[in-house]
Amino acid sequence: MARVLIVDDAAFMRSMIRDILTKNGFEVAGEAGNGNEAIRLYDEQKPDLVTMDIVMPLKSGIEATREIIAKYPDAQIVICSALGQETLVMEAMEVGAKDFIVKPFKEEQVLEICRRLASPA
Amino acid sequence: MDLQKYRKLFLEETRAHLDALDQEILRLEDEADAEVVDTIFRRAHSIKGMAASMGYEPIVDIAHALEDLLGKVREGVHDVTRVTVDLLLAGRDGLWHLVEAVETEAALVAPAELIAQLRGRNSAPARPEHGGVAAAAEPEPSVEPPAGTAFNYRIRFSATAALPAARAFQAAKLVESLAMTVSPTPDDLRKGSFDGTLRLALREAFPPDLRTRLEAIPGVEAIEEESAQVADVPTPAPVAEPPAKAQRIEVPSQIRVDTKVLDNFVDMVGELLTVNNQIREISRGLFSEELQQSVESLQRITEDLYQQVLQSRMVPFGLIGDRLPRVVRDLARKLGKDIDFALQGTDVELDRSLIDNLSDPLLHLIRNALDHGLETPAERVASGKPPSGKLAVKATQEESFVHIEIGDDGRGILRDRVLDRAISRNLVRQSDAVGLTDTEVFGLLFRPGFSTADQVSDVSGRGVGLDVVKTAVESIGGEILVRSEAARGTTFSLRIPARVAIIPVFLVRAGEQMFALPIAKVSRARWIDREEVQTVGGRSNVLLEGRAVTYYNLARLIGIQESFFEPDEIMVFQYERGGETMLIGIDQFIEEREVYLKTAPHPLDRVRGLLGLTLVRGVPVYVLDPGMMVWTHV
Repeated sequence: MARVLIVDDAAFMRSMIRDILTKNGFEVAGEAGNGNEAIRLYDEQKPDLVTMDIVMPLKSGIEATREIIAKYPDAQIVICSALGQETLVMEAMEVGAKDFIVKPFKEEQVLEICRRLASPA
Repeated sequence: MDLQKYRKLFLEETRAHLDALDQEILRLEDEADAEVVDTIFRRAHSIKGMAASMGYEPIVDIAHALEDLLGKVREGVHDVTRVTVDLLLAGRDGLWHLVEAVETEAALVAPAELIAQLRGRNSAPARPEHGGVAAAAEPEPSVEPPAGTAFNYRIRFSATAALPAARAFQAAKLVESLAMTVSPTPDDLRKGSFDGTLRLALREAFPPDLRTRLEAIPGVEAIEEESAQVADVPTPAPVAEPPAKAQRIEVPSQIRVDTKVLDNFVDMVGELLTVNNQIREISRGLFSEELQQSVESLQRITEDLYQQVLQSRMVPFGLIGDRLPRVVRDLARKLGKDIDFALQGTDVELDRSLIDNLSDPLLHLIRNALDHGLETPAERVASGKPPSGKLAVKATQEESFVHIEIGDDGRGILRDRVLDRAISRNLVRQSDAVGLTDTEVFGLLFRPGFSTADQVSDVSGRGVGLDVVKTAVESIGGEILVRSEAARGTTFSLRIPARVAIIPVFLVRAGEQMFALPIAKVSRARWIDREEVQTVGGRSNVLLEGRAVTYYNLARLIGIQESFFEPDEIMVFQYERGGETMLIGIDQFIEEREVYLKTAPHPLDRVRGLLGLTLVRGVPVYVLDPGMMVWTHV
């Protein structure tokens, strides 16, 4: 069962992603509300997959992605983006994020991307 | 996906953001702190994301317009002026109204005018991200084909996909990672050159594996061949699966509790204390040391529990205090006054129920100060004051009480004017007026029907209402005082218990019912002979130290069935207020005790003199102030 770390400063968003993933066979390894927590939990949990919000207090998702990838180059990070964040998304992928999903989330798309990243061919 | 399930979470989280926004935007007015701008931006962004997920488009639109406006502030395109702050506040309020509409399940209507205003401040197009594909003129992309290349492919992206340029970037990175050349390059794409198509050159036909991976990228519409020749393609290295690790469940250290649950706790622990006392009394008669020791430790634990329960109800004054800067600002603008507002002591803690009851009186006093106390800039300059008026709200803790001062440096209250008004309203006799101290004179302001404001204003009504403020403050066991100096300003001081109103009362019986009378309001308790009560024309008097004092039987005053039993001696409580005295006769004195005062449920909370309810041995008992009942009706 793929284990996922959910990172978003909005509990609302976390619960939405959590629901989509858990009812489709993913297991939640942890939830973080900012980049620092994300890094700490990644270290601790070594999840198979991370869903990473970009705009968060204390440390952004881009910075967190950069730091996680620096330490774990194989980390599978999918960016959770909003409309209008095109350049930020590109930046996040530049620093190592593997893919992105766009809010409002479409369940099938989230699943498709997460499944693909969690079980690399 | 059942979105209704998320509605509650959406409301909670969005409201928390909106509350914080209010203060942060105002902070921006004092100092254009880049960090505050970032925080505000983040909140707008978070709201936008949540609203988009819920399909609340009008909320998305406002949040987005706010984001753009803040983006301009962040880039330094806009200075933070008063107008900007107004706009931000208007945007925040627009969000608030829509969130309310979400709560009441009303239709969400996009406030076009507001969005236009927010947009008017910045020159960005309405929803740039919907364009996605940059329309900017771009040279026809040309691929520098590596030596020997003969296959050219076009990858077309759907213009309606979310973030098409980012999808193209994703595809371009993938192609590049396989040592192939793509145009535009990922770098070009980040700089904004994307026309909807990626081009790449291969040395052989499109490898099926790459095709599958590219087609899996959302937004990739078609992969088309432009021409054909020969080459080879490296296969991507498989990504190793990270090792699994021991599981752990993260549990939050704080939880939300309904305030009703906290109220029930107080009631129940209060009852527990009562029962404990009864057991203790009984155990004394049983002469068992063991039993008594157990009862003693039960008592200690119960009392600790009680303290803990009370502590769990404490909230910071900031819960209402933090809303005041906004209120003051809006009112001052409306009244054309310049106000420096200072707020102190937002971390002072008091019981949640007290905060609820404090907010109206506080707002009333602030409105009064702004409307009547503080002058317009012109008036101030004319009287040699700086044009900006000062208003300060300060909360401090002193033992088990919280002091809240609302002070202004306005025109002050004119003693003579108060006296004139009081005399004309028959609140005080002309002959008595001269001897009154300032405190006594200003105390007249709190009498019902008193008003010094000559004109009607939509800010503080007719200037009536200080009596209402006083009643409200007293109803939570507090008191209010006013100091004032002509031309120097006015300060209202509130002193209220920090913890939930635990007040000492006399438990008494009137007729067949039990009532609680707060001891603090009673100036004396004494016995009188029934014969001392003289009833003439329906009014009863008792001769007290040579002077006739009004007497009421409590049951009759309330209007309930009086006791049939008429003992020779009656216990009476003496009440005094503003030079008036009266006696309240009760049918039976039960005991003196401390009770937890709960606000009476609506509409009982409107009954004058009914301070609230308390539970005594599981039975609800009214807590009364006969003084308020008798004297406010004069």
